[in-house]
Amino acid sequence: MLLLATACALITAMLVGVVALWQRRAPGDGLQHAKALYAAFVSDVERREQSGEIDAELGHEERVEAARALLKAESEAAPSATARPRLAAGLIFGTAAVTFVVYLLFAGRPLIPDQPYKARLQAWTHAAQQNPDDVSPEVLAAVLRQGVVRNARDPVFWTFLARKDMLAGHAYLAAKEFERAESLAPAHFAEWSELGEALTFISGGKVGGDAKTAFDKALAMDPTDTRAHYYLGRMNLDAGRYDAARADFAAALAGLAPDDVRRTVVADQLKAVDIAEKAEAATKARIGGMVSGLAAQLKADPENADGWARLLRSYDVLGDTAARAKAEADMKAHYRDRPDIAQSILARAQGAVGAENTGGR
Amino acid sequence: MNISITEIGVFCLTAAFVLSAVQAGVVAAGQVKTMRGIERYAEGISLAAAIAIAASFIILIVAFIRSDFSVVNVYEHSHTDKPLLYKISGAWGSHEGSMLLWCTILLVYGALITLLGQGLPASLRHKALGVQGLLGAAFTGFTLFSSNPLGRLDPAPVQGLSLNPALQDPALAFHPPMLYLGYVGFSVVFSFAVAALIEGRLDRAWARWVRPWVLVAWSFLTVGITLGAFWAYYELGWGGWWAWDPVENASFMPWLAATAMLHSAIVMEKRDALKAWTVFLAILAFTFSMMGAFLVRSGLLTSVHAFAVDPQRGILLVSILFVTAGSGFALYGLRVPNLAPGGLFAPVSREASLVLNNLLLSAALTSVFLGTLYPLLMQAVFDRAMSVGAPYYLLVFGPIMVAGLAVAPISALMSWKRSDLKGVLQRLAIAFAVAALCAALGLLLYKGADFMAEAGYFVGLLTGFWLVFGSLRLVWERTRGGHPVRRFLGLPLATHGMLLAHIGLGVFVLGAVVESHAKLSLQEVMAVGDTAKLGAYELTFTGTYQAEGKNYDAQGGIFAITDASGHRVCEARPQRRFYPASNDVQSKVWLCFRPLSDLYVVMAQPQDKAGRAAWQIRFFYNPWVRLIFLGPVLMALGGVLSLCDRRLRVAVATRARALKPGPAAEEVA
Amino acid sequence: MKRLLLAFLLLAAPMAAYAGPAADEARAQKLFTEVRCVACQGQDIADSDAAIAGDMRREIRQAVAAGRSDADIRADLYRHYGDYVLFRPRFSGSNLLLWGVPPLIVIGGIAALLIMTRRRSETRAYALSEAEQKRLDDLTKNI
Repeated sequence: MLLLATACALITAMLVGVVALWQRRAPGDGLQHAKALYAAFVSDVERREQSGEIDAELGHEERVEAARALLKAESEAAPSATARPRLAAGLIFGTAAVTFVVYLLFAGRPLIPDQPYKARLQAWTHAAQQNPDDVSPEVLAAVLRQGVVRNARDPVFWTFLARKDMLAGHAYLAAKEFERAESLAPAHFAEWSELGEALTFISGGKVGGDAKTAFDKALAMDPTDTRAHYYLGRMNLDAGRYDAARADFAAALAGLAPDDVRRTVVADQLKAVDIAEKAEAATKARIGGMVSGLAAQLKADPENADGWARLLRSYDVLGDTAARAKAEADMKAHYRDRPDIAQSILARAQGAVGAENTGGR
Repeated sequence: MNISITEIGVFCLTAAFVLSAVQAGVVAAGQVKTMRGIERYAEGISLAAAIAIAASFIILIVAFIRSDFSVVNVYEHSHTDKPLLYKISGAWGSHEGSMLLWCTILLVYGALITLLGQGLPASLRHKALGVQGLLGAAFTGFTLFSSNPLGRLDPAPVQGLSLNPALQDPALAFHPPMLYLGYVGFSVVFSFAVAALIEGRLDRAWARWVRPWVLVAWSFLTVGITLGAFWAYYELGWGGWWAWDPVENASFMPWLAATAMLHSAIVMEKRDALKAWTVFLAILAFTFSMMGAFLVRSGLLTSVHAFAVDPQRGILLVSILFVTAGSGFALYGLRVPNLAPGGLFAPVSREASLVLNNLLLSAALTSVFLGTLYPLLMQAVFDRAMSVGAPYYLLVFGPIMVAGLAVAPISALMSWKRSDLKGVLQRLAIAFAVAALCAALGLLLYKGADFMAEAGYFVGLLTGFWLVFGSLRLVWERTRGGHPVRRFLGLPLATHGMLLAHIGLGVFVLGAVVESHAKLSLQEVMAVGDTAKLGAYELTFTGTYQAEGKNYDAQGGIFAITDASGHRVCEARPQRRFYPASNDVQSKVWLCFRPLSDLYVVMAQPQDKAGRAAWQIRFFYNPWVRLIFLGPVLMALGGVLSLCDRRLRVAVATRARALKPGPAAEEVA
Repeated sequence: MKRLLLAFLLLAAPMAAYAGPAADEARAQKLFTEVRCVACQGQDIADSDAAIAGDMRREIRQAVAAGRSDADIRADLYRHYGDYVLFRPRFSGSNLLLWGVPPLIVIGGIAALLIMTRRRSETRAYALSEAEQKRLDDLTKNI
C-alpha cells in the first residue's frame, strides 16, 4: 500500500515534470510566433510560385489570407502570459488531489496484489509438495502439467494427471491423457472405464462409439466394473433398449458396497428405465392414433399434398416401412397424371425428415 | 514486498481522465479575460495525459502476457496456453480493452496536435486541444467508471476462459488497432473543425492543416477495413469478404465521408470554395467513426462482429455519441451562416468536377446509411421486420459509385478555374478505348446468367480499367518529352499519391467485379476417396491427418486439386480445430494461392455418409480475389505518399524557422 | 499496346479455365443471394448450411425450373415469408425513401449545381485595405 502510494506520487511528479518541461521550451505562442509563422508561410508561397505549383493569383490570395491571420493574431494577442506561480501550483495540486481521490474512491482496489500466473504456479507447487490434500484438483493438475516434458514417457504420470484433470472438470484433457498413458504402456493400461467416462463427458453425457469400445474393454478385463456397467446402462436407456439397461444398472448396483453414496444414483436410473419405457409406449400409441386419423382423412379426401407429405414422414419416424410403402403407392396412384406433384411430395417428405434428424439429436 | 503494477495502471488511467478534463478546463478558462494565458497549459497537459494512458495500456498488455487472472478482463479473455501474439491481441479483444485502445489512440493523437501543430496559430491549436480534451474526458471517463479494463477479481481464478477462437488470427490481431487509428484520427479533424467554427476562421490554411490528419486517418481506416474484410474472407469460411453487414457498413461510412472530405479539402485549399461543406464533412466523418465503433455495442445492431455489452453501458455510449455529434452540428448550424462566402467556380473546371465527385460520394454514402438504418427504423416505428442486403446496394450504391469513379480520371486531367471538357475527353480517348477493349475481352470469357449480369460485368470491368488506364494517361502526359524516369520521379508526391490511390481503386474494382460475378462454389458431403468437380477443377479427398497446436487439437483433411488437363494444382489441407479451453470448434480455411485467384477449401461439420466418416466440404474458386486486397493497400500507400508531400509539411518546416528567423523572413520585410 | 493486351490475356487465363454453370442454375444462384436465411445471422441462403436454407433453395430451384420469372418468385417469397427474407427490399410505398433518396440527391444536386454556377455574383475582394497594409508593414518591419 505504502509502496503503491509512493509509486503513484512519483508518477504524478513525473507527469507534472512533463507539463512543466514542455511549457518552458514550447515556442508556439504570442505575437512573435505569429510573425514567424507568417514569414515562413509567405516564403513557402514564394517557393511554390517559383516552382510553378501555384499561379500568381493564388499566391496573392494566400498571402492576403496569411496577412489577415497575422493582423487578427496581433489584435488578440494575450498579455504575454507571464507565469502565474500560484495559479499553476493550485492547478497542479488540485489535479493531483482529484486523481488520488477518484482512484481511491471509485476506480482502484489498492489492496489486491498482482497475481501473475508464473508466481502463482510456484506457490501452488510449494503448497502441493507440503500438503497435496489441501490443494484443489484444478491447481494440482496445473502443478503436474509443469512436468509433462520430463515425464513424457511415464504412463503412471499421465494416468495421475488425467484423474486430476477429470476431477477438475477438464474431460477433454483427461481423455487425451488417458489415451496417452494407454499408448505408452498398452499392456498395463487398466483405466478403460475412466477413459470411457471422460469420452462420455466430452460428448455431453452421451455414450458414443469410442466410449462404448472403452467400456467393453473395461468389462473384458473386469466383468464387475461398476462404472462401465453404469454408463453402458445409460447408453441402452437412451437407445430404448430397456431390458439391457435394467441388466446393466443391476450389475452396477451389485458391484457397489452397501454404504456407497453412488447407490442412490444408480437406483434412480433404474427407476428412470421404467418411466421411460411407459412414456415411450404412450407416445407411440398417440402418434399411431394421429397417423391413422391422417390416413383416414386422406382416404376421404386425397387432394391434400401437404397431408401426404406429413403421412409419409410420420411413417418414416415410426419406422413402419410396410405402411409407408402402401401410403406411397396410394399417393402415386392418386397423382397418377400429375407426376410433378407426386415428386414434390416425396422430396418434401424426404427433406423434412433429414432436417429433423440433424436438428434433433 | 509486493507492488501491484495493475493498480498503477488504474491510477494512470485515472490520471489520464483527470488530465483530459483539466486540459478542456484550462482552454475554457483561458477564454475568460482575467484568466487569459492559462490555456497554454493544455499543450503540456496533453502530453502528460497521453503518457499516462499509454502506460495504463501497456500495463494491460503486461497483465495479459503474465496471465494475471486477478484482472477480470484477462480472466475472461485469456488462457495460459494461448500463443503470445493472441495473449497480446486479447488486450483489445474485448469491449473493455478496445475502449482503452480507443482512449489511448485518442489521447496520443491529442499529444500529436501539440507536437506537430507548432506551426499553427496558437489560438486555433489551443481550442482544438480543448475539444480533444473534452472528447478524451468523455471516453476515458466512460472507460474508467463503467468499463474498467483493469478491474480486479479476488480471489483470482486458476485458469482463464480464453479468447474466442475466431479472433485468434493474425489479421484480426491488427485489425482493431488499424481501424481505431483511422476512426480516432477523425477526432483530430473534428476538433479542428469545431475549433475553427469557434474561432470563426475558416480559410485555405485551415484546409491545409487538416488535410494531413484526414490523410492519416483515411489511410489507416483503409488498411483497417481491408484487414477486417480479409479476416472475414479466410477465417469465417463462407468464401466471401464483404456482406454489407451493418457493422461493415458502419466502418465504410466514415471512409466514404473521409474520401469526400479529402477531395473537398483540395477545392477549399486551391479555390477557397466549399468551406461550409468541408467542415460539415469533418464533423460527419467523426460522427460516423463513433457510430462505427459504438453503435455496434449498443445492442441496436445485431451482428456477428458485435461485442456483447449490457444495455445500460450501450445507452451511455450512444449518449456520448449523440451529445458529441449533436453539439458539433449545432455549432455548425450557428456559425456557418456567418462565414465569409466562398469563391465561385465555372461549371467546367477541376473544382466543379470535384464537387460532382463529392455529390456522388454523398449520394453513395446516403444509400449505405439508409440501407443500414432503414430496417432499424421500420422495426422501431412500424414494428415491421425487413432486410436490406447486397442486392439493394448493387442496384443503388453501385451505379452511383460507377458514375463517381468515371469522373475521377477526367477530373485529374482538368485544370483549375476553367477547363476544356472536349480537350480533356480527347486526351482520354485512347485510355477509354483500351479500357473498353479489355472489358470486352473480359466479357468474352464470361458467361452470365442473363443480360443484366453480363452488362453489370462489362460496366464494372470498364470502370476498373478506365480508372487504371485513365490514371496512366496522366502519367504518360507528365513524363513524355525526354527523361521520362526523371520527370516521373520529379512529379509532386501528392500527384504520385493521387495516381496510386486511383489506380488502387481501379485494381480493387476489377477484383471485386470479377470475384463477385465469376466466382464458383460447391457444397458437398465428402468422405475419403470422394471426388467433386467445380468448373475445370477437380477436388479429391485423399486422406485425413491430426495436428496439434499450442492451444488446439486439429483434425485435417488432405485434398488434391487438379485442373482441366489433369495437372495437379495444389494440395489443400484445411483443418477443424478444437479449442479445449473454450470448448469451441473452428474451421480453418485452406487457400491455394493462384497468381490472382484463390482455390478455397473449408472442412465444415462432420457427417455420416452411408456409414463412412464424412464432412461437409465447401470448395470455392474465387477469381482475381487477390486484387480486392491489393487495391486498398495501394490506396493507403497513395495516402502515405500524399502525406509526405512538401506542401503539407509547411507546419514542420516553420518550426525550425520560427526559432531562428532566416533569410526568407528578411526578404519579406 | 500489344504488350498490354498480352499481359491482360495472361492475367485472364485462369478465368478461361472453366465453363459457366447452366443458365437456370445461375439464375437460381442469383436469387439465392437475395433471400435471407431466417435461421442464421444475416446470411443469405446461398452460403448457409442450415436446413431451412436448403428447403428454400430447393423451393426456388423448383420455381425456376417451372419457368417462373424472377419477379414472380420474389412476389411468392414475399407472400410466404414477408419482408424479412428479402435482402432486396420491394419497391413499395414504405420503402420509398430507401430507394428514392440517393438518386434524388444526385439529380437534385446536379440541378442545384447548375443553377448555382449560372448565377454569378461578385467575387471576394482579395486585397488588403490601406489601413490593413499599414498595420502589416508595421508588424513585419522588424521580423
